[in-house]
Amino acid sequence: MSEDKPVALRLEIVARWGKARATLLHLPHAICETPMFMPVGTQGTIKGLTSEQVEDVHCNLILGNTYHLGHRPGPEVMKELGGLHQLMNWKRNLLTDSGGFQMVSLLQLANITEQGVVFRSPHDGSEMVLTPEMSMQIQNCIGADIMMALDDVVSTVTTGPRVEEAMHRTLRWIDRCVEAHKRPHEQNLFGIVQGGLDMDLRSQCLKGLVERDLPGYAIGGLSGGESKHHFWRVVDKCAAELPENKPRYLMGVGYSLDLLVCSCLGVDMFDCVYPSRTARFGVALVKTGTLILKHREFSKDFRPLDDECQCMACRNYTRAYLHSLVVQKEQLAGQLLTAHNLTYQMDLMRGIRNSIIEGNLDRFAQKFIDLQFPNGDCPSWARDALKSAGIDIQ
Amino acid sequence: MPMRKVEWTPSVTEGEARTGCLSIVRVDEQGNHIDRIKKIDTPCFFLGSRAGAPPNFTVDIWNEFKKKCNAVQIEAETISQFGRGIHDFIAVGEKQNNFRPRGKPEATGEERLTETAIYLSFRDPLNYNSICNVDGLAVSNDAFSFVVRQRGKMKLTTHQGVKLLKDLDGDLIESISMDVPYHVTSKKMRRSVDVSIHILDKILESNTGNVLGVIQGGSDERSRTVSAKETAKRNVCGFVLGSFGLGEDLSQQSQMIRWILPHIPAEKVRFIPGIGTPLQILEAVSLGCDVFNSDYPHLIGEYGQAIIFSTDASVDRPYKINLRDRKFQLDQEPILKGCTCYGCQNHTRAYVCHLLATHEMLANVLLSVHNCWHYLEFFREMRESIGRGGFNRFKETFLERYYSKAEE
Repeated sequence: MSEDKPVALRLEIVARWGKARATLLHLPHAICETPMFMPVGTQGTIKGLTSEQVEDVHCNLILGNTYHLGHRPGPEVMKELGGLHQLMNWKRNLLTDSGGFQMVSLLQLANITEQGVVFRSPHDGSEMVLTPEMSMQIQNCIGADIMMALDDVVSTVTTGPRVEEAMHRTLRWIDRCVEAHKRPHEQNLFGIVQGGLDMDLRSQCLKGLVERDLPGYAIGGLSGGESKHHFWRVVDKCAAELPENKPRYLMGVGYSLDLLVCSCLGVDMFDCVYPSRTARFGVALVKTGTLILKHREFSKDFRPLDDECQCMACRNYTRAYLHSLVVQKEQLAGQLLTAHNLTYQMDLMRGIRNSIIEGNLDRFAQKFIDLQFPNGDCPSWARDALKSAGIDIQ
Repeated sequence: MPMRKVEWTPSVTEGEARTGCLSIVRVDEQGNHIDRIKKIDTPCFFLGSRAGAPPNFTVDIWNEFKKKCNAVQIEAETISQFGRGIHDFIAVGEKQNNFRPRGKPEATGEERLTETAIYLSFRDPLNYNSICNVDGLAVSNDAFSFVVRQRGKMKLTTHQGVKLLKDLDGDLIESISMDVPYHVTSKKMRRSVDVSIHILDKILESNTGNVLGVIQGGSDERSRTVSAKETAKRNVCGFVLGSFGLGEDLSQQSQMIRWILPHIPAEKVRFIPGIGTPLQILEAVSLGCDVFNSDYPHLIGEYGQAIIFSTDASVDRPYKINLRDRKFQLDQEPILKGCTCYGCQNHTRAYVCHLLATHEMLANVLLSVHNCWHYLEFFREMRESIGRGGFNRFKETFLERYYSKAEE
């Protein structure tokens, strides 16, 4: 590794179990324990929670969204206010995406050219371009501890030359990103491995990114409707080929089974809106799966969501109370369930981490599967993936 | 089994305005005093709740409020079946060990006195347009119906209503009564009095100590007088001035209060739910009302506004600010400098402005917290002014500053 490359992070591997690893990721605002889940605070807030409550779920890194924050309050205001940490009074780490994904997912008129992502402004209909340079400029204003390179995202169900084109473009854009990034001593720029479901393209992209010696790498373009059998094989391959001494981030993954499997395959970081979004729909995540609190069966259920959970909702309220909030469509229901679901995710990740350190990840995985799939109906892809990670599910 | 009893002790009076202390005490079956469990200084404001908590308040935020305010509504049936009373169910007050918030030891001694007291009302404390509907009642046949649930009316017999109040086990119980809007026929006003007294008697048969009688009668002087006199004859721990905030203007409000107060004993607490602007409150306090409840501070927040008025004559501050205004997007000051609420201690106007622009839930949380906090501060300052004999000046200063021009 060249010593002169500016980085703002350090990765310390604490323990390994098979392909999985437990690390300490030293970032500018806090040390993170991995494998970790990172809640999504799209517009500078985790929906409904105060910063203090997010700290209470023992969360050291949350996501902000460049597309949304670039629109409101906008880079100028953000810069003037001293960045997103300042604006939202968040003392721990932040990560921002490139803004490209929303252009593709939210906007029908997005078109990708060599220059950047061309899209029609949803506000005034004018044509705008998000270039790698602009993405960097906005992310530099936001000031997150980790920022993501602008990549050319194609849907995983796309096949043919478009996938290859996207992969090559992603590599060309990474150089423009590195060039445009003004704060490499404070902010870590991660590259994103693309290449769809094609293992050769993934390999090529990965090699190209690794040659650029970036502070960390993400596996992108997944969880877009592809089959889970393809999904885990791509994750497995990328995790195996990414350098040991750099953090590995799997983008957009947040179902608990996926978190377990991909941690076993050697991924360090995950993000997803699932736990907080599902909370707002009145769904609680528990060890045995989910509780849909609007169901009448909970109206007279006076137990907490989870006996062992230490979150604000479980310590203070019954399922019956939460049921009454959910059916009356109280905002408070979303607040309490978000706090619970995030605590659940954090506890799950801590459990995975501890079992890596204690050397019993296989037993942890077995127990997790037994609780989530009591009828032995664990999906075959998960069995295959865990088997490749050295864990035989009974 | 110990029962709750409500006492009110006056301390200072200035004209008709008065301060005092509302205590919830426990007594044994013979009526002997066991201990005092809650203490609330008056004049005060009871925060309204929806579904068991003030809107947007999680338990940690609620804990912050305990020293300032005490009081909270929920679907009654469920709590009945819960079997441990409303305090436990909504995690306020005398909680079981396993439901204590993290790191918070069991409250003891003086600290317990600041635990939240729960006031049970049949009128939605945050939506005064939906009034307790006792229409369709035939006093003789003992059945009545009213709005309790967001999903519609629920029919209850008096017997069921009485049992419900017992199961809920609140600290203060408002007798079930019939609210009427300001402009209704005087026949309806008279009926509201008869119905309310009838139900009060039923409730008092089985429940004692902590029942407040509701004075009805709408805008009819005779009905109000009758209602006040009849209610005063009964063994109630305090009085609720019913059907306020239902279309009357300020002078009509004062008029109705003046009709009632001479007929009820001064040594009992007077609760007037439904009126909420500082102007209405100052007026009602000056006439001798003690306890208030309205949706005002929450409502202001829903418009994206923060109240920042000052009661100190030497401080020049507007009544409120509209945080949706883009002029605040770079404002790094808290909503109100010096305010000790969670929002002001942790966040800036710029952040709230951003949260409002992006329609984020946290905007409602921070605004509710600030507005309720500031409002409760206003009550504290008002109590202090009565305490030192300066209420009249306090009131004049406030009216001069904020109501002389057409400002709100």
